[in-house]
Amino acid sequence: MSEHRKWMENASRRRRFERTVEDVYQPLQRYARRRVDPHDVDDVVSETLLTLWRRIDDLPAGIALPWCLGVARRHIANLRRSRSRRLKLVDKLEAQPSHPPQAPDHLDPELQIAMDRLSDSDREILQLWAWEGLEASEIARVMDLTNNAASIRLHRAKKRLGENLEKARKVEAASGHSHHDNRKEARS
Amino acid sequence: MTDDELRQRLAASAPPSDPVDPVTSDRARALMEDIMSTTVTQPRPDTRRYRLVGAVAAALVAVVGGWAIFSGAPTGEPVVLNANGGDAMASCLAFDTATLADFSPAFGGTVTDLTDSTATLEVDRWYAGGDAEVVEINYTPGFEALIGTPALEVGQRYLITATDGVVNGCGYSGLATPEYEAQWDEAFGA
Repeated sequence: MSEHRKWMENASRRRRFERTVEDVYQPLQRYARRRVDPHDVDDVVSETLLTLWRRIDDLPAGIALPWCLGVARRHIANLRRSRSRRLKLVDKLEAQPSHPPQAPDHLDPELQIAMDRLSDSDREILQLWAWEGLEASEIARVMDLTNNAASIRLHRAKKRLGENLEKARKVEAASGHSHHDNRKEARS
Repeated sequence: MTDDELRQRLAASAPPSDPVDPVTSDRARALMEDIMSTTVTQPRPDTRRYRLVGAVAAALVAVVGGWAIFSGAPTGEPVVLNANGGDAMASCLAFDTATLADFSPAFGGTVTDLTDSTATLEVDRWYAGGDAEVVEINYTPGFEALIGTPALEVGQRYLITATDGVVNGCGYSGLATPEYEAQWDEAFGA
């Protein structure tokens, strides 16, 4: 390949990479910030973008963000696995692996309870749907599923969450009723 | 509650993630320049996976942690496949990282238990297609030669790819030497 041709190809590659990073940079940071400790965010983002640079020629059109989130997801899993392994000799109750930041749960305790009762897989798929705003086909790309599997799992996860929310609401209603009765008794 | 209402309610519960660095920042620019200065090998040809001929097969079983090793399979269920005997390395096409990059699943793991028919590996890194903590490989005689190692050993780390639940040979699985690991990093871009 001539030097000129190499230069042209490299310049084209750079442009493709830069354009793709413009689209994915901020959503990628948000994805990482919602899931890992703040000091791990840069690591996840830079490793993902390095993978993107190496594989930019293979990236199908139109799926850059879910593709990058899929890579970030794998980096995060490897990071957690590596941390967990190092902590094996330490009491895990005292030294927990990397935890993502938590939203204040007083904002929606009913939702928190309902989500806590779901499996990790259900929680993850709902978070990709609502936090990252992805549709089933994009979720499929992130989680390395078929489109069909992602659609079915998303549907089931929503259903289970709905059922859990209903249960949580009933428990709260029953507690409220009991509380009212107790106060009535106390006054009499 | 409608789908939209549920989605909005969930979105409102997301952990804080802003502010984030804009792509126009000096920091972002420096990161991109640093990454783009990384050498990339020649663009890969638009070819597909080469067929591996005569590889000895080993059944690949993903256990523990409940994650299926192959995409689309339900979680919580191990994948069990039959092992077929064969003539290891009878006819292998030349190794190249383009072919390696196409394989899924692909992982790195250390042998923690070994019998004369089963190797148990603790996975420390998934490159593609899986999430299991532990993989069991049910192997037949000749497996060591398949992956280019004199003998499997507890405590040794290996890089393994599989196709349809069968471990690949011909250089696409083997002992995790620094050189081999570098080829994997190049192939999978991580």
